[in-house]
Amino acid sequence: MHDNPKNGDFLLRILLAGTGGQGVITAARLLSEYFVRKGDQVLSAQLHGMAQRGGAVQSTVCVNSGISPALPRGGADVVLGCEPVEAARALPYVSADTIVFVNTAPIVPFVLSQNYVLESGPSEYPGLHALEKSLRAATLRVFPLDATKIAQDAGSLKTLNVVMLGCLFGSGVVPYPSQDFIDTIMVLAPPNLAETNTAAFKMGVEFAESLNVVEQVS
Amino acid sequence: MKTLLSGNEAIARGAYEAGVRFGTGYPGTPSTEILEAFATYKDVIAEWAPNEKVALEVGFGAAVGGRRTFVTMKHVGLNVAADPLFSAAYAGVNAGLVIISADDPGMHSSQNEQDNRHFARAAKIPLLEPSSSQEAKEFMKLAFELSEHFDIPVLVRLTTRISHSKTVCTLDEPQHEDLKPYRKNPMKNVLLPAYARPRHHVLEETLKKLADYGNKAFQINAIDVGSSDVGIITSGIAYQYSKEAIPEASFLKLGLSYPLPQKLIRYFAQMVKRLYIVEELEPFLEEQIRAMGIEVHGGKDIIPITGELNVERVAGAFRSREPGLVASEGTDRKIEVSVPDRPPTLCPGCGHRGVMYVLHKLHLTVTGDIGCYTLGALPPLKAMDTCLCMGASVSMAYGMEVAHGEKMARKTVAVIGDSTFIHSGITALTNIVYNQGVSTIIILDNHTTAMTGHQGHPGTGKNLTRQHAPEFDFKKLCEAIGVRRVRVVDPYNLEETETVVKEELSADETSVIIAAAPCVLEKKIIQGPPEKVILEKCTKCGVCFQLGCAGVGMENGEVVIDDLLCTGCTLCEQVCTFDAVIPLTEEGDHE
Repeated sequence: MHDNPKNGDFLLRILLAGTGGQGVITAARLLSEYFVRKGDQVLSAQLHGMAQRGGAVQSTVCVNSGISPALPRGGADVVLGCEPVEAARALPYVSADTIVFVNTAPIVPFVLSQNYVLESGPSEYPGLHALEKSLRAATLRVFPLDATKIAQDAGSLKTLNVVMLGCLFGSGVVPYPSQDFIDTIMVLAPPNLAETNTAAFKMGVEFAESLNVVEQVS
Repeated sequence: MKTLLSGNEAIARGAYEAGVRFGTGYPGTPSTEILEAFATYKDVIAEWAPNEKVALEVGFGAAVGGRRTFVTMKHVGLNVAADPLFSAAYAGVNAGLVIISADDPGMHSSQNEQDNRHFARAAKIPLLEPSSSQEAKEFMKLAFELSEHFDIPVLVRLTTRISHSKTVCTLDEPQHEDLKPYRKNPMKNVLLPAYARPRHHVLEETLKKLADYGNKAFQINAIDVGSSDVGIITSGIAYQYSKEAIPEASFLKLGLSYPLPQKLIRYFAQMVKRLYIVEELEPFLEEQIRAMGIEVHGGKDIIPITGELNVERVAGAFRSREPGLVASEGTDRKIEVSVPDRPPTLCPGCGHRGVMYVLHKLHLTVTGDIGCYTLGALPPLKAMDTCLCMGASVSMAYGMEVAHGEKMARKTVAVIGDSTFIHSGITALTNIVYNQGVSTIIILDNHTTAMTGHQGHPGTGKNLTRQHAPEFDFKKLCEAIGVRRVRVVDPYNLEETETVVKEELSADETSVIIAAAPCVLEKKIIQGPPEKVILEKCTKCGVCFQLGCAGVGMENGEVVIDDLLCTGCTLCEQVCTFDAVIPLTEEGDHE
């Protein structure tokens, strides 16, 4: 099946979570294309009914794994949470082995900020500490970062999704060099953002490398 | 060559590889991307029709004329196209005709979760159910062969997970298909009773032949031999879930699931001790298989009839019956998460907001319709009483009027989008004029089909490929069908909008208000400088919150406007009774 016999011998299930406009779907597309180019089997699923109008977005990228497009409970190897509440919403897919990168900059649902009582769920935005705690109850491998600030430092808020992808590569779970992904960005991302995207990606990689995620894990 | 394709892209590719050069349809999640992907191929014609019925009739005409054609729609779209569908089965085709129905189990973006496999059985046409992108592509080619060989339209049913999931596909070279000659054949194509009766006999014979074909088409209706104890009959995406949840069972995977391959099913049923049927939504296969007298050990008694399936729901269903066969991974965990909802909302700057605010303020009964503006039903605007199907807002407003008389009409309005009005609102408006109703209809003209991703329609002056097209004139149309009171308002001017709504509600005849404002999301429109709250003047009365704009919020106990989200539409400035909201540029010495 695989063009290159070296590939296809690892399994990786990534869940990207965020809100409309954070680039979750674009990040899943970049990642999927990258692994396809590497000769891996890829299955990517997304639900984007009303994401553009402020809703929650989840995309999955499953590499060399399974045949059905929906992740089972506890089935994510890595969660890239672009927003704290959205990372917590992904909790059913988190197991004790899951690595969670979570952006600490909240996007408060506007209905909460206007004090309207919702039909379900809490009526206040949960504290960051509580959110982190609930994530840590599921897995010890929770790595918070202010990805929004990193993206701004890289030159554009729009690169938040690429910062999170950088974390994935910097964590050491992808068995290919992170430089390869920069080539994918160059080919597939808008040319005017290529430089900013590359900078953002590298900053994400550096952050995750500094953590020694894989060493902490094993 | 291998590439990553969504189910929708794979359908388009399959059509292209089958030599198809014409596709038409009406946008609707999750089907929309099929024609958009098809349009990217060379030398093809991809068109949006004003509604699904028209699309299918055009497709039928093209196929009878001799050109291979496919027609795309979401599940509820096939309800609209049902009239031509049922009779096209009698007439048969000339060149292949394939209809794609993209169903939405779980109602991610739909008003119901009907199972359109029933349509294949009701209309007596063959049904193909792909379970992956690769199959979607291959089944398209097969669909055209079946359509031409058996002289019948073919239904291909997708579901949201297949439409929107991407998997690696192997591409083939496109084949060339010559146009078939058109020959006049009234005995076949003119469905007069005298001609249609023999056609019904032909159709029944065709279905028998198709069932025979299905019994032998082992590539399409495939047996996967596993456990001799447990056998599962399934189709579409439910196959993927079952295979992952119960990997060691034997499977009969039906690709051609109507007409049912009865011999093959009997053969499979005898192979195993306990037969299960796993289907998403309706017991479509199960009821037919039980009617054959075959013992079914488990079907809808264990698999939920509502909502979307997944591996876990299938595994859970089997855990009590066949504990030894259920794959254990990730299935015993239950984490309850309590995080706030993030409901979708009208975009900051959206032209619908002004109208919805006025309707809410006037406490009107609002019959609504299908589109972004349906979000106006949610708090805080809560400006919608009903939402049923495409065009129903206009008809229902008149129904309310008939129920309660003119008094009701004085406080009822219908709201309908431009694309939806062209789709199904025109005939409904004609009905009001004809029956001399006094209802008030508001056409929310944002000049696009916004909710499905900004497709063109006859009112936009752009066709599917964004090329110039003649632009439908709403005002002239309304006047032509006999509406004498047609007003155009700027929905960003709340005072004007309120005045006009009140005037038209009190008019003694049918009236139409066109609220014209292009979609801010599509055109990335900035109407003016962002607004700013002057804290000293703000009393925190909360009236600006009634607009339901994501750009207005509370931060550290103060009302703030997010200048990144604000498009400067000025609605919050207009509703503020304390002059506490002003454009950022006029702020001057307040800082």
